[in-house]
Amino acid sequence: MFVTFAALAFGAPPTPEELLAAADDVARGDQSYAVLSMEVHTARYDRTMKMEAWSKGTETSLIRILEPEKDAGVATLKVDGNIWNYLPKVDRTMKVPAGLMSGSWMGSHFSNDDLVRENRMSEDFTFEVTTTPPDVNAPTGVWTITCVPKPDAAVVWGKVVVDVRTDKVPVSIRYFDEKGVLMRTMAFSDVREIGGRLVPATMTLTPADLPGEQTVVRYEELDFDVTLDDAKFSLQALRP
Amino acid sequence: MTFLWAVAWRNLWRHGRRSLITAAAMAVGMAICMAMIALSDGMYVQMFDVLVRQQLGHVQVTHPDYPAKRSMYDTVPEAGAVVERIAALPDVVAVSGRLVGFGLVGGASTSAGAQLIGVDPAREASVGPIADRVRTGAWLSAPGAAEIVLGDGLAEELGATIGGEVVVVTQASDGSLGNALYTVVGFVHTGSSAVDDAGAYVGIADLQALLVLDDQIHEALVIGASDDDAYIQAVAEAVRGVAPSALVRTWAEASPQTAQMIQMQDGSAWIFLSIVFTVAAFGVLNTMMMSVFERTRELGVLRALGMRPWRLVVLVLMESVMLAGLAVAIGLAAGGALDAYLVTTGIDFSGTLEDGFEFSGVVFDPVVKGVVRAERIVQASLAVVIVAVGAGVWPAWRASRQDPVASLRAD
Repeated sequence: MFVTFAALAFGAPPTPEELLAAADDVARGDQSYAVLSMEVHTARYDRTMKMEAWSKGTETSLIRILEPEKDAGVATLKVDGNIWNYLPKVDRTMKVPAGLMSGSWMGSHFSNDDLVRENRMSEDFTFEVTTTPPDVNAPTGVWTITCVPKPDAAVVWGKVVVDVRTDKVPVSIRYFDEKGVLMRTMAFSDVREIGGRLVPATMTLTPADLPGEQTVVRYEELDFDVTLDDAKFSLQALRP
Repeated sequence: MTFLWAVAWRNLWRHGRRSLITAAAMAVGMAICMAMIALSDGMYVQMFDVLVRQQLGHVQVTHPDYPAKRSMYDTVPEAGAVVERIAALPDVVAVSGRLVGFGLVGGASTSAGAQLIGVDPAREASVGPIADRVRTGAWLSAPGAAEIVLGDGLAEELGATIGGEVVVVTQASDGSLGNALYTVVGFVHTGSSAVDDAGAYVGIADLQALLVLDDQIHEALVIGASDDDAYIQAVAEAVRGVAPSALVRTWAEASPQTAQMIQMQDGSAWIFLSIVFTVAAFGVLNTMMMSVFERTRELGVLRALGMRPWRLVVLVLMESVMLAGLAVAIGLAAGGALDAYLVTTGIDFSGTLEDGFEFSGVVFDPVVKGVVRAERIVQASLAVVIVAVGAGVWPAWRASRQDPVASLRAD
């Protein structure tokens, strides 16, 4: 998920589909390597983690914790909607069972489900542009696209509102429940050019029902110019 | 008076068969009552034992918010010292602090979510029969021995073996991914499906380290020397004195629905009792009425000879009392035999209820054994006598109110 929001190329004047696809997973089909930091602020604890992540398409990724020392070496492998965690302290790999997929990933506000769920807003939602920027050609003009899930789509949200710039850099994604109550906001900031693409290097996830809590993910390194073998994303590769 | 007793006794045997049948009917009622009461008391004792002593403890000590929110963070701090202070109270027989967490337990090939109960093995074994419930293997040896005792259903699901290892993964209180490797030392069958199918016991020090909740517990269970309500209240008060910042509740406060159910169980015996004795009362009433009507002439003669009306009342009531006495004698013999059977063998409900009956996740033993209490037998006997005398009042009053002249004319 972190990596998939990463990069996009400039294009012609955008259509809503293109804008949504950009917000969905602009790195689809791409291979990437990233070093990220994750700050988690909750009422109970604050923690900062550093991790490296390899990703191939949207279906496969591998994340390994570098810091703090207590969690260093813990690795999460995501392949085809399944998640395995490798625990170096006990030298075991465990698959996260279905019942625990809604649980927090590494104590953050992201759930295990967030890592694997790949709802394509351009496919699973009906959408309309609700706000058009004053100048549709200005690269930083913001489009607001309101997406409602199709009846048969396996989506937990009632409505998703995407703000995305004309240059296809996402600004924010707001998630609402069936009653139209805002549940959480993902905000993108710190837009940089990496490998010829514009990438929001910071993502902030703010749950609406937990005041003062948030999870902030920052790209410290991001490299699209990598070639990753499928063997990278195997249970064997989980162990260092 | 002795004379009247003698007359009453003879009168009773003028229709010996009728008296015996009436007495026998009452005796059967009384014997059934005794058996029902013994069974009901047996169920009560079992229920109290399982629901209160094992599940709730006489007194519970928790963080004030824990019962409502069940949050991992609502703990009692400095738990070691608090538990020691409670244990030192004179009326406290046993106390056990527990830390509860939820985690993923991984066996050789599969993993399952489970409730982790962190306990001091010796203390936990002193508040309940947990050590006896270990079906295979052994109970935990120490609070920090990196051992785990799995519910037998969970063990089966995981394919765990005694001596093998399981991984436990959980989100610790600091947000980190707590994980540890424990040696499986035993499988436990508690009767509570929550524990048997999805629960595991680990040493409290191990769980405190795993959850990063040093020297904290979620609840402490206290067992006092008696089940008596007032006594338990006093124990709770004493515990409050040594754990001032914690919420201290008696079992009835902690689980009003259990208290209600136990009260209902206690009251159900009286429903049977009243039904049986209402039937018995009509039997006595019938017998005494018949006997008074039959003797209209005879009683008229007694009145004509100068017998005071109140002595007639006494005479008829004496007959009722004797009838009741006879019933009690037979009833005690029959009921005693039934009670003896219930106490030694009990009734096995496993034919109708395969795994025993379940209430709020607790499975009871399908074999219910009777419990006989002397005061209950005295109550039943007294009830028979009171009912018999009560039923005799009307016929006796009628006998005394007859006009002697009219009675003498009757045939």
